[in-house]
Amino acid sequence: MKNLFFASFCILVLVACNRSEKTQENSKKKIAVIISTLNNPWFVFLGEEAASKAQELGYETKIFDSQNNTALEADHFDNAIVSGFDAILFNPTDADGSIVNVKRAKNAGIPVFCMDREINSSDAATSQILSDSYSGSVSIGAYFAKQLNKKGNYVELLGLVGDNNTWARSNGFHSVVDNYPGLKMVAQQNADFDRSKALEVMESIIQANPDIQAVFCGNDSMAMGAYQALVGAGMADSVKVFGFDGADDVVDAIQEGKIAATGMQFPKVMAERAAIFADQYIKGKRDFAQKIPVAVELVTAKNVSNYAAYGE
Amino acid sequence: MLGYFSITIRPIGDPLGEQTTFDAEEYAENLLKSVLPNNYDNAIPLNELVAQLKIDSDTAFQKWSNAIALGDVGYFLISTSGIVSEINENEVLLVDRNNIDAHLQTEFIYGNAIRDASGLIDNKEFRILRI
Repeated sequence: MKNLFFASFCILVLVACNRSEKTQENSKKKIAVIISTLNNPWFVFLGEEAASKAQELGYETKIFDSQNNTALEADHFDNAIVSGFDAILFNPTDADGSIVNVKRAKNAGIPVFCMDREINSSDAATSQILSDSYSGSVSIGAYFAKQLNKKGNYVELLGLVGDNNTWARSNGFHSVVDNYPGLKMVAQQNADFDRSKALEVMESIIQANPDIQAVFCGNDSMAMGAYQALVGAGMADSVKVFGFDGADDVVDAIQEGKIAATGMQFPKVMAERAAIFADQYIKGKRDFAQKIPVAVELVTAKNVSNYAAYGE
Repeated sequence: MLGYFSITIRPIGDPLGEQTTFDAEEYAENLLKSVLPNNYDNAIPLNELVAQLKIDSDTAFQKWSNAIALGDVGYFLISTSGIVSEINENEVLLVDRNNIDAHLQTEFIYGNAIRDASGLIDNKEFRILRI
């Protein structure tokens, strides 16, 4: 009987210990990091930096991959809401299609901080920290015109048509190059910010338009895909390729003379700022600027030695 | 090309349902002819800026530069006068009265230059709507 009593006591103590651990675990606040796609190293870096800064600030984090699919993104938001996350650091899949997800989180009392990609709503996200893509592309456009001596045929590869960065970059670029009648765009096609798709699209463009002098791409993954297609067609030495992002392979390619220029974004700045904002929100701050632009810098062969990938 | 023309800009105060559109030409004309000239007195003389940058660049950036975006890039609104010594395709070289060379861009001056250097335009005044 004495032994039985002792065994019961031990079980009670064990149960009590478990309950206590669980309460402690529950008290740790959680931040979800929802990223449009982890199939692109630039976004992997953005997500990891956001998670890392949030962890440094004392939060538990989880990274979700939306695979460029708004339906999957919606599932991640449902998951984050049901699981009781305290804030969401968000890289949207679609400027319009992602609004409903952000609003659902907002209605559930969870603040959302957009990183790098914008949503077309000024009252859904708590704040949006975005690259100044338009200005960055103006700089690229000016360098592009100079490199081509204001004349020549060129191709433009666009990103995802539903993403505002696609149009901010394209419009910034055209605000410069369209001033030169000698610069003729012979093809403009979307390749969804994807390297494989850019390779495929560029291969077919080259077949229809072999007389080209340059390619402007809305991101670096597409620039690398376009370059690969040009290598395959034996045109890599005569066609200048311009990207946007500042990804590691393009920074290397600029050093090697394979890519002409890119617009360096600073994902670490955006990710860290979003995590800091989330922390401030959780601690009670409520007045955040709706949009915070982050500068984009032109990187060419002349200044590439001053830069590391992703603006690090 | 459709997408290129598929964006319009409206002042934030405009209700969505109304058909009023932002008149960019009028806005730019007012900025260039009224707002900007009224702020020329706020420009730092070029020789002072050059001297300050040599002594303490951090203070020079902190005190005189403007930037809409977060980052390491700052823009300055400067004033000077001098003699044009070279006229090139896209720029003129001005040697100012303190013997400082100033390369002045003459071909196209993009809106960002005025936006960033003057510090007179606030992004929060606008929003972009896809139509």
